Amino acid sequence: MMRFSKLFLFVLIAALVLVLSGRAQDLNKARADLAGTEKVGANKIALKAGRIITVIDDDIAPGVILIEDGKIKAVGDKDLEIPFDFWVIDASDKVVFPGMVEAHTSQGMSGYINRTNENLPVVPFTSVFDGIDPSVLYFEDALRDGVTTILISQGNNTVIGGMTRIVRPIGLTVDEMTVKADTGLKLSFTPMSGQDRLTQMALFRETFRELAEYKKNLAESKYEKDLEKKEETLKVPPEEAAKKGVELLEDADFDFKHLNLERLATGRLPAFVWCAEPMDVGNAVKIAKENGFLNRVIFVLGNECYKAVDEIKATGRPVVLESNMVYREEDPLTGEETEVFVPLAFYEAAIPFAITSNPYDSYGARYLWYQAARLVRNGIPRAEALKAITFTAASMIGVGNRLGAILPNYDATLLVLTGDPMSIGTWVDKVLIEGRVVYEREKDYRLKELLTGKKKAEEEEEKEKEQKAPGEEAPPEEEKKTDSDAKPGSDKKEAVKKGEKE
Amino acid sequence: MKPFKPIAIFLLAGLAALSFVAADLSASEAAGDEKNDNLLVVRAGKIYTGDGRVLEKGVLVIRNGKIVQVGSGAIDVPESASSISSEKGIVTPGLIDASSLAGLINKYSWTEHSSEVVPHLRVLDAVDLRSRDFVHLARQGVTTVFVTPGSGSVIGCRGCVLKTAGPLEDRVVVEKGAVKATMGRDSFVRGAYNRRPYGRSLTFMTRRPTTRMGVTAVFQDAFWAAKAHLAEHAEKGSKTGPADPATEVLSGVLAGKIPFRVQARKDNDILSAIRLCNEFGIDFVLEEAIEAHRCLPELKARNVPIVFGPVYAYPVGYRARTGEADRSCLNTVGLLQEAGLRVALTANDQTGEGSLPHQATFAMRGGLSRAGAIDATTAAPAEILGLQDRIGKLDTGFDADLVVWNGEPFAPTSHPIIVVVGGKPVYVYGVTQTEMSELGKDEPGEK
Repeated sequence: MMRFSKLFLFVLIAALVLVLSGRAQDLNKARADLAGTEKVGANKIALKAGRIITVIDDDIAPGVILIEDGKIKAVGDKDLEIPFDFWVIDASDKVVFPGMVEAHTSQGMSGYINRTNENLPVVPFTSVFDGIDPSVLYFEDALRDGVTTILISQGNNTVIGGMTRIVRPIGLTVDEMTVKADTGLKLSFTPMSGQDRLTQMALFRETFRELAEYKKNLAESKYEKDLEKKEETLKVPPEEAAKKGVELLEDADFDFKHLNLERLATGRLPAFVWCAEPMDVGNAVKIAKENGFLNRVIFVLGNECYKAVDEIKATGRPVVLESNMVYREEDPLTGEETEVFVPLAFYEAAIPFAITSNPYDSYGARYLWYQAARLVRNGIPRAEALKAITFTAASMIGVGNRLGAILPNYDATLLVLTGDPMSIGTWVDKVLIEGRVVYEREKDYRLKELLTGKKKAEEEEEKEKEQKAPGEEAPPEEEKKTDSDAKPGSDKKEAVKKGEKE
Repeated sequence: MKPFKPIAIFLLAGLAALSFVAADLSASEAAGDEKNDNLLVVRAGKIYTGDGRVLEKGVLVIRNGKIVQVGSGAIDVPESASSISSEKGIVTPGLIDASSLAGLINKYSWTEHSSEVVPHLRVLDAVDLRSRDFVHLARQGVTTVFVTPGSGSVIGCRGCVLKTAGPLEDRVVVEKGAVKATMGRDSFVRGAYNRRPYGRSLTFMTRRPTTRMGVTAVFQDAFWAAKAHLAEHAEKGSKTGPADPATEVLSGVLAGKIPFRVQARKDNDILSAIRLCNEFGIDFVLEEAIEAHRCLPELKARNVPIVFGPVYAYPVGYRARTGEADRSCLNTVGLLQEAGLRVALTANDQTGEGSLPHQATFAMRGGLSRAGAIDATTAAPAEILGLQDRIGKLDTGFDADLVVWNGEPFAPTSHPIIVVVGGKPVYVYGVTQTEMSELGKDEPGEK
């Protein structure tokens, strides 16, 4: 009897799991196809590379990277000895580059249901955790385009937005995707739509004033309770009690509406500060200074903000730049147009900057590598341009000690590229995230569709036709054999080679 | 007369940083020889002539805005000539966009609403020649554009061919270009957004077609009228009564005197275009052609020239809302070229970072060869515009429109360092437009 009920329970649970996961599985089928290429038991990998672009140090060509338990154990030239128990990935005709880092984006949670902005202006208690949709195509594309670390943030249409989060583009739940949670709050100093700057600023002041008030009351009651515990009576006036109580306060005492604000105001949370126009920078610096989080600010800037480069330089804080990168302005009197390449202004001021991609801009702007090539085209040295999509970006969002470069003890989050990251014909051949091979181009049928214009089904149909064409009365056995043999290999490679031409 | 002195000053100022370019355009002032006026020599590490030739250490001699000599290595050039020389620089012909929206005052709705058949109108009337678009395009190396008519009419107006830079009076190359027809939804979802005609109800009998069937009917109706007009003309000769202006133009199309284009995005619309043009025996150029890769045999059978673009994976902007643009292929141009079709690339509505050279970049990423990319942005569009004897190649007798690149053209890190239109530099890397506009002007108080 006991045995039966156990069996029954097991079946019930299994059925439940199947039903619940069914929908997610449908949505994620394509990505699961890509992500399911993990080699079982390969926690020790040796990656032989034609060239390693470490980003921080000089390139190593040819080189070897030893990976153990998802971390880079050693990086060396071809003389580095590969222990016998390491699984070797041979990329000796390829280039290995750190996974690219998107320092700030609102993609990955856009869609019909998941809007990027909350309706309320002050929502520090929300988190993108609840808005990220692991099944959106963006994550699949990110993998395909070599972006392995993505900081997802709320949109700009808010005052104090929710919590940001760093994710990797693999996994079927947000938890699985998370690289680092609680990576900062989003603040917008450019007014929300339909709101003026005065109201925007007033809301900031009011929020922090209310926080101070709340904290004071909380401290007072905490002090009182503390005394009660010690069975003493309150002898000091409320003002003093509040002062004494502040030291006793713990995070657990704050309610969810105030906790993140408190963490921000005590400098324990980074702030992603959106400024569309130069005048917003001044406002942002003022509010940040008054409330003690200026040294945690990461500026997220609109193009025109290059005009505030001196103010930003004075704060010593890094910036994330818009994907468009070119600012044009017409003099209303003379009609003369000036064109500024925005990242150049920040490079020249020696301000650390990261660049972003955006598929809604020009087509090239959807690729971070192309954005980096644009930096080079406009006069920024190659090394600096490569850092802007890797190490600088990773450092400013707080993961520079484990991502964005190829160094020992860093995460083995690497790209195997078919060529130089900035040349036209280069494709992401493999993606390793923390030592797992999560993308292989030869299995990427969606990319193949985009390159050949043929859907998977159409291609198979054609193949069948071709096979049938020469000998019309081919024995059915043979046909069967060729069908099962038609692995996605030979044909695909040809299509891929076409891409490599350049 | 010292036409080039300011140029020399600005070129040297602008190019001081680019050590591999030496420009000496001041030499002509010493000459005083009338013959050598406006003589410009361009020397570069490599010249892609546009007809498939590649000249290492190439030399171009330009006189009065036309190319007079092309060669490589040592060529005798009068000492008095101005020169642009760049050892590492690579020269291509000026790029040609065969279906641009540059300069149009209202980009997405410049459809004439008085009729669905308006081939007697000219898009030139809606173009602002002083528009910034042309400046931006010239900076990217695009020297000639075909401004394409709006797609909001079944048979739209006539496009025009313009140079993007140079003196205003020389800008218009072709005033009355191809007539453009549109297959698909555009004519009933764009433009007037299918508003009800005043006081009447909406059917395609009143004004607008509301289905693809309606579009076909309007198209056929217009050409039947033109056919009848031609038949009448054949019968009565000069005694033929005047037809309405639209029919006159369409008669010209039927007679093969006026070039004709059809915009079609989806494969079924491309097939409709072929079917309709077969019915009336019209040669046409296919525009946009997003799904052209799906109708290769049909296009090949009729040898339809194609203006394809832009290149993208997922549609964005207004294109995404057309509902006709979601089956893109990154290698359409390559596939069309492989099939032996004449294909030109276009950036269409995109200027700046999405403009023609960057379209070529991504077409190459899709699988197009560099030679193919150069062809699709120079010689092929010139041929499609019927200007194959004037632009699109660097050869004797051709317009001196050229681009000097800092590296291989269309590489993501390459950009134009000098753009020449009509034998005169119109853009130099690092030199602002105002400074450029001072070029060629005599110094004040000189005369």
